[in-house]
Amino acid sequence: MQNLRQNLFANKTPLLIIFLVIATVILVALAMAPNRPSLPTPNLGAQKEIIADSSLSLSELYQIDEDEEASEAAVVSYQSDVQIMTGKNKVTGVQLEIKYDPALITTVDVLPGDFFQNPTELLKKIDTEEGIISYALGTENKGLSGKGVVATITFVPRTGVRGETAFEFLSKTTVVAENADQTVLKEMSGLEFSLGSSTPTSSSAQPASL
Amino acid sequence: MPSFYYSWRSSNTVMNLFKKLLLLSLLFSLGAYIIPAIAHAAGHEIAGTVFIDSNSNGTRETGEDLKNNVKIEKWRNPAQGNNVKDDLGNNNYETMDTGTKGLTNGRYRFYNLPSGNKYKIKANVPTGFTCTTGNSCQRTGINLNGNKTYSFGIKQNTDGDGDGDGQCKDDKRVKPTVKAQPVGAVQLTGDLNGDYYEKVFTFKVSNKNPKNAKCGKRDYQLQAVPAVASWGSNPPSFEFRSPMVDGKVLDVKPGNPAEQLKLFVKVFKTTPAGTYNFSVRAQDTEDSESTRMSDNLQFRFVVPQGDNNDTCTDNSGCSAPSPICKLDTGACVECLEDTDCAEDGKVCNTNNICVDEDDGGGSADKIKVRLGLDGIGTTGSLQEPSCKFTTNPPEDKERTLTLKISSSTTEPLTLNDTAQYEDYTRASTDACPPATKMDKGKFIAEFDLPAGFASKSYNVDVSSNDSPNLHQTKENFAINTSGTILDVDLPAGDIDKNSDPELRIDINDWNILRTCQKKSGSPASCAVGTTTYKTDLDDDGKTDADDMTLFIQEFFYRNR
Repeated sequence: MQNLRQNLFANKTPLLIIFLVIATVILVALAMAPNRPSLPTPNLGAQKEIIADSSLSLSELYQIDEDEEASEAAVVSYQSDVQIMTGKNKVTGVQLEIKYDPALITTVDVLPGDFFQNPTELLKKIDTEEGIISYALGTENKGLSGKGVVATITFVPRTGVRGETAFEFLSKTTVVAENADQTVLKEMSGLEFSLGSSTPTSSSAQPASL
Repeated sequence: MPSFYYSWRSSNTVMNLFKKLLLLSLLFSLGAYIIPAIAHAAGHEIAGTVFIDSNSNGTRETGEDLKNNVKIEKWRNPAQGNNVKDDLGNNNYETMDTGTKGLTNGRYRFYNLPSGNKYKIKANVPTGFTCTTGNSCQRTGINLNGNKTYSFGIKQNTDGDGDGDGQCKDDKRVKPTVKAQPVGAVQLTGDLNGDYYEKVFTFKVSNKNPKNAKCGKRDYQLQAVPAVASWGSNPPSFEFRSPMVDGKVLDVKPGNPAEQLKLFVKVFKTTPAGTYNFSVRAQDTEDSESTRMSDNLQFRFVVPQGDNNDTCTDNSGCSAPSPICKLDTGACVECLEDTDCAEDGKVCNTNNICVDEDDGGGSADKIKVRLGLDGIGTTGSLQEPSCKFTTNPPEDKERTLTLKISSSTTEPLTLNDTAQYEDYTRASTDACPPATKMDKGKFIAEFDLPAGFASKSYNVDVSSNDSPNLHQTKENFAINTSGTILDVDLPAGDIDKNSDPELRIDINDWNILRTCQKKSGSPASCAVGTTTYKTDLDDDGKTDADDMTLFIQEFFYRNR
């Protein structure tokens, strides 16, 4: 008996095997337990907070007629680029909500710019009665930093109209980025322009901080 | 000592040499950085690339190469001829070839351009190529108030025999096929909600050209054609939507059909009742040979008489079970007054439906809620109830429902109860999508109403603990003594549970979903920022492409 006890303490391998078996069973049970998360739960300290550092602005208008001679008589389209400067953010997508005056401009369209390579168009809706462009696009690839054109708005002024008008970003406009669960949009500035002269003249509106 | 001295001297010489080299390299680096910066700081630039746009969609994508040696021209009006100065004393006309002047990879760049308007830029499309970015690869009226980027796409003319003349002289093309998914004609019925309702017909297009066929592009023009010459006044309308562009499906490779293509048919309030037959067909966009147009894929739908799709002016425009014309709305209804209800003991309620007399003034003790959650069980998605989402049993088979019942004359009542999921296994013979009014594949709860609860019409709001902000309100909903079933479908996609109604399903939710989908193991939930979110919208235990597809459909639908 004394020999057996001595052997048991002298050779700890069986104890170690038993301990490992128990630990394995516990770990397997934990792994198999159903995972039923529901509400968003705070995960404090897991990742540092992302600072909103991106801005959106609209470029001045430029004419996109194909043939200048023909455009004298034909319909003339204008274009404004939605430009982004991401600052330190790695941007993955943009949702634009832009208001315009449907009484003054028509044939409004929005197209992806070249900031995102091969973007996914998530939403495209142009409410021609209310005058609201809703457009969302994003990338399946890594988030991008820098500046560029995320989208381009084209339109045609209504015949015979005159007056000051604008493209105005609405508050629903959002910029999303890697590791951020809220918008990283810091400021946005729309575009004011006047219609009625031979060529619309434009000026950037004051940036609106968020 | 001498030895140490020698060593020190030697080390000092090496140090000095190293310092000189360091200084030189610093100066060189600074020079390389500053000199071009100074040279280009005076003005703006127009730059970009020329790329091979293999799928003709106007956008450069992975695998699409850049093209060197394409001549790019730059003008500025007023054009007074080439090689003259403009009114600012600058050359108004310049050219360069892509990938030259120190640039690589199909790039071009014009530096030091003064601000101003009426700039023009043009890529000269090489022989045998076609411009895919519109305007003959020319941009005019450029207002240069900063640096501008214009990229041009070109595609090699694929006339097969390689001479780029647009005519193939070795033609082995065969006609494409258009088939329905699922196979068979589709019966279209529906209730009007607004001025029109819309149904989707899904089909696929296959490129049947042999792989050794030299001719034949991969782009097909689609047509939807009524079976008769005219469908009369206010006919249904057709629309091929994305991914189709201008009714074309692009880049269909042999052996790799374009699937899940969708034709949207819009039926208007004023569309006459009747049976409508039409067909869908496809043809190579650059093949005018009629024998190589696909066979017609037949579809059929029915706009029923008196199903509220038709406006009525008198009772002759309505039929059972809604034989009465309600003149103020032009809708066919069951009754306007009690005498319109043929059966004994029935009365006409406020919804113009015949109900048991008790339901008009008695009390109700229960209400059953049949909750469909988009993407789970027998509930499809908001935009497209399809079988893609109809077979997924949820991981969590319970939901907590909240019912808020109110009317203009009663105090608001809030009830909570647990809804249990009814299992559903889809048999191959089941309809697709399954019938909507059944318990299977839905969450069922039966709420006890307080004693003496008056039987009448209420506004009833239903929400689930999954997405409390995505609730639904049924207005003027009749709660009867004889047992009432309330059918509600709730959307999915409010991952961050933003309480702002404008942001319930938005790009923030997409970004969180995208993040979790990319995590290894496709977890059902993951941490983004400082919060953990559940992103498994169809509740199958993982965040995958199905969740992304479901989200995009919900996002699109909620915002359209």
